Amino acid sequence: MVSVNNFSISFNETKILEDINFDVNAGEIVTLLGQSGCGKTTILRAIAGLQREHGGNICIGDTCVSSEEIYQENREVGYIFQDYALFPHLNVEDNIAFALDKLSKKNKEKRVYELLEQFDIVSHRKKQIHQLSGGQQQRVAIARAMANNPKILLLDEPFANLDAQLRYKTKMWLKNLIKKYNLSAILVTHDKKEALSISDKIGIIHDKKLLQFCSTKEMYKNPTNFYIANFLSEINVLPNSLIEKLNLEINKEEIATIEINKCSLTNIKNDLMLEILDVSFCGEYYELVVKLENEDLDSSFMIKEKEFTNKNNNNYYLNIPIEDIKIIRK
Amino acid sequence: MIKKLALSAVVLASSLYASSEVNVYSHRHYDTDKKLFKMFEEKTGIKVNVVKAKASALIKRMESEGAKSPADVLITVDAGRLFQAKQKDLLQSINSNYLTTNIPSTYRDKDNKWFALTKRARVAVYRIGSGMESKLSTYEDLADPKFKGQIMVRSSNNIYNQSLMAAMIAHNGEEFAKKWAEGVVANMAKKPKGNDRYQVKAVANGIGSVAIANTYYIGKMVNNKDESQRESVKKVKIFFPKFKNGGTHINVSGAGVAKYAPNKENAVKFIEFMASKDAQELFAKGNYEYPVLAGVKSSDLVSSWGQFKDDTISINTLGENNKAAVKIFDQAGWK
Amino acid sequence: MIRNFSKLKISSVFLTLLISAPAIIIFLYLFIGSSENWQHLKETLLFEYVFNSLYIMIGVALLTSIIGFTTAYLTSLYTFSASKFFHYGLILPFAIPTYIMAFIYGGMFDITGSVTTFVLDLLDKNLNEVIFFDIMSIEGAIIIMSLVLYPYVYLICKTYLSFESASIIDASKTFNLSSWQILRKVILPISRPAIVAGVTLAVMEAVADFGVMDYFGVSTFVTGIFRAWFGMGSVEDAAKLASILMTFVFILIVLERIQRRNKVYKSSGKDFRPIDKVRLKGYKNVLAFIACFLPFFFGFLLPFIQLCFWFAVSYEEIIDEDFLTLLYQTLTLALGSAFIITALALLFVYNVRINKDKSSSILTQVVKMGYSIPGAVVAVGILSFFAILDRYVIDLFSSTYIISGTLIAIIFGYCVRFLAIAINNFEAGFSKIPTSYDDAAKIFNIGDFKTFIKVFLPLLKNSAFAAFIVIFIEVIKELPLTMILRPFNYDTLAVRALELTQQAQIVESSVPSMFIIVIGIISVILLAKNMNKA
Repeated sequence: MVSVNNFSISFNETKILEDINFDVNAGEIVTLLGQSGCGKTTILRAIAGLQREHGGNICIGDTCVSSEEIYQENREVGYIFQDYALFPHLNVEDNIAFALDKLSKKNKEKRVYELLEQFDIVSHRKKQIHQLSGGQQQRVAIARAMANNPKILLLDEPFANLDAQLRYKTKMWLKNLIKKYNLSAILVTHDKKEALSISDKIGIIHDKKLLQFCSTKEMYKNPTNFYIANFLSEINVLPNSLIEKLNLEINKEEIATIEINKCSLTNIKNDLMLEILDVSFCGEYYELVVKLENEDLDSSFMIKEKEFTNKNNNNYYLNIPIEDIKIIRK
Repeated sequence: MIKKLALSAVVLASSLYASSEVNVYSHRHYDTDKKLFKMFEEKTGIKVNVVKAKASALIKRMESEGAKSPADVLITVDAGRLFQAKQKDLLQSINSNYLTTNIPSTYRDKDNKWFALTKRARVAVYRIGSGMESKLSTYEDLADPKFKGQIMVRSSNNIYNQSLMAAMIAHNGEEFAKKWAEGVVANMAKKPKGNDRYQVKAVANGIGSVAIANTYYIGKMVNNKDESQRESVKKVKIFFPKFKNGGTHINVSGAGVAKYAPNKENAVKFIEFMASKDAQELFAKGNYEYPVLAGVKSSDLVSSWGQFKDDTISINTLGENNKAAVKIFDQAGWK
Repeated sequence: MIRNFSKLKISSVFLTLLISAPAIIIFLYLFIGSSENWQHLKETLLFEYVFNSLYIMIGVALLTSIIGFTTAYLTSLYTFSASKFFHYGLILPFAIPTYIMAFIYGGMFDITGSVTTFVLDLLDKNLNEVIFFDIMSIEGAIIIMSLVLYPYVYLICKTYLSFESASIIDASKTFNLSSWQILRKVILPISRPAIVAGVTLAVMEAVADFGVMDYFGVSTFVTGIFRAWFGMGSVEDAAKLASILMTFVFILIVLERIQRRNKVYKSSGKDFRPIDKVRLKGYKNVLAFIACFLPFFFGFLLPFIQLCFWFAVSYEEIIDEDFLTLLYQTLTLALGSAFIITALALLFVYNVRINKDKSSSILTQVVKMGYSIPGAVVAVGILSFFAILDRYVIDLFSSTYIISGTLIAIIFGYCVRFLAIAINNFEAGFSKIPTSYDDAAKIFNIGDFKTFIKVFLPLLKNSAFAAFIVIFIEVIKELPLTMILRPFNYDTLAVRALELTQQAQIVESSVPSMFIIVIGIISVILLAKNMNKA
């Protein structure tokens, strides 16, 4: 169980993050999402004890440490770095053994073999790191991180260097691992697809703050602002003219959005005649860039259609279910 | 008409020639030489171009350059090197009445290929009050155990020591010379390092009590900017050792005209100038060396050191025995 | 495209032959029969040369690796008092040539030197009553050379640590190891290639040195070469000694290459993160400060202060018109040579880039070996080279002044010696330029030359500048080669410093020495600024 309270951090007088609060329970997978450089890795490092100077405190289990207090040596944390940080001068089994320094020789060997088996890297045990593929290296990194049975697993961009096949495989056994050992897992990534599919909870970090922290479903249904909504799904922003035509009531702080998938074309005449600006075939569907007739290009938005043939003599109209329009903060 | 043209051509050529230059390869590294060169330039209008390096390096260079060598004059600080240069056929004979008349035959090559310009003695410099005065006598005696731990002398790499050894070989043969070297090595206060002045400073300050050095260095220390040198030299005195059947070891600094000298006439003029009264006086007063020109007096300071008899062996032997000298040094362990 | 006979390739081949000529000639002497002198040499001196050279190599290797790695480790991973200053300050010894360091220390520890007098006054004793460390010995030479050369190790280790080790260090920390354990188990092992690379450079310089060894009376191969050649007049013996020396160095270089290849220590390099430096407090802070201050003090501050004192009492007398000419000559020679050499190096490396065949890189390796040849040996080779050229080839030189009248020989010598530096810089610079740029240029059908000017040259600005500056400093400092090959009336600051020292005018020699060092310091600062930009 990890609890981050009032966490803030500055570099050279500039605040990078402030007012970060969230908890991760045992057996939970939490992903911190955000653009590159927003500071999410820094939070991870702080939990691992690698970032010493910060505001607020971090609790692991019952023990809470703020950075003014003496650095607590034994945080039971497993950290998997983005570049795996495997020691290049040691082979696979020595890399894993490195984590087991305090064990006797016999116990060390036993444990190392256990881990090699668990992560299916027995055949690689004597190899040098640079002789392994990316996926193999990741497994070694995880084996090393898990060697001391940590309660918390921290992963920095775990899917970044993997191809699609490896990605879903990795997702699968990562989930199994975390559930099996009841770990609190915190992932950091800028890739929303993976985040959505693996996490129990998501936290979005933007503009120095934790914008929203909740379950995946909740965030998807009720994003608290436009940034989050746009980050998570493909949405269209309704232009002002459309808002007027539909008689929607919104104030200055809000915008009207709708998922792209919910919009469609129709031949049935209605108030919303469209002009089609561009058509692209994307395999699964056609992507159309459209705008309301008599509006300028700035108010264009997108529609996806399974079938489409562009007949010049036809007029097209927008079919938009009003109940699916979401009004959210900017 | 043609005669007039020819004459003016000759005049023109010779005036061009007169405002030309002389290229000097010199091992001498004393500032007094700069003054000398300026004097020569002012007097004759001939520009002096100098390359300074160790004589051995200069000789190598002249060899490599061969007939294309631009060297006009070679100046060394040691007789052995002059001999070497002559052996390698790098020098030519010149006809100079002035030089043959004024430089004693013992101090010039019999074929007139080189001429000594200054003399220096290699002597024993002892600390006043160390009791050495009564013990010093001959060079051979320096190997005697009574000097154990007392002698400070520079490395055998140095040409001055090599010539001293060459002289020792000439007087007493190689066997004796080797035993002598071993004896001196056993008497050394410290392993050889530094130059002659270092040896003098050492004995002045209590390390060993007898230094082997060239005479002019003492002069240079007396009037030196560096206070420590002035102080040191006050504590020592010069003793002129002799060879058992000879005199005090003399070496010379000399010059010769290069075989392929492009400016031969200027070269001869240059050497004659170096042997002229003015130059010789400058050598004597400015650099504390002994002049070769008869009638030129040493400086007062130099005279105050005392009189001595020049060694009897020919200067040529210093060069002839150089190779053997180096070998013996190595065998005796004189670093 | 078949570019085998492009102009670029041909000029590279030609230049390689030219530059290797002096070394080849020296090697050839190995096979010309031996003189009876060689027997004598073998019996008396060869062992000493080998022993001393090995002793020096090991001593310098040990000292520079300890000083260089420790300071690199401390300044890369920690902040402590004055660590920001030491970051750059520890490079300063580079500005002082080894022989000048030897002159200064020799003078300070002389019988009447400043340090000797200071200690004697402090203890109120006489010269005979105190045992002083004899600095003019082989041990002294090792210490002095290490003080000047440790920056090689320092820089290479620091670069490696700063760029490659951040996440590995973090990883070690997550296993709750103490700093000492992390140092021993992780940082030292991964730094090994960097340490070895730096030490190799330092040892090569130490073994090829003439100034210090000659002044301190230490017999090594190089002093032996001078002695055999100049003293005994035997070029064959000198060349044999030179060949043995070069073989030593060659073995050293090969060993270094082999050990580098076996360990691939490059991290992915994609996500460069600077190391999170830990702030040291209390006694650790003090220790770190002392560990960095000592090399800085003995390697730069102390000798520099002594030099300033000597300079103050002698500059009025020494700086005259002649001296200013000297200064001008030194600067122009260095600037011109640096320019030529930088340009040539660019040509070589570009050739390798364009013609990706093995022979091109072999050419470059051959040329780089020139760095390991002692300056004096290069000078001999060049003299012989020109002599042979004159005798057997067409009569190139109408005037007699080709060597003595021009700077051709001396610049040739600098090329042989220093091309390696510039080539290294450009190789590093080129490696940062993705080959996709070349391909892009090809697609747009831009010819090689235009590609060079428009694409590569702007991107190589930093490498070119760095190469230029380093060669500039090296030429200003260079001594033995310059001494032998310089033309009439052409002295440099280094030559003048040596001359004055040989005339036992150590104090006065501080004047040219000071100029050399100040120029060196300015260049080092420029170099550091340039590194930051890269």
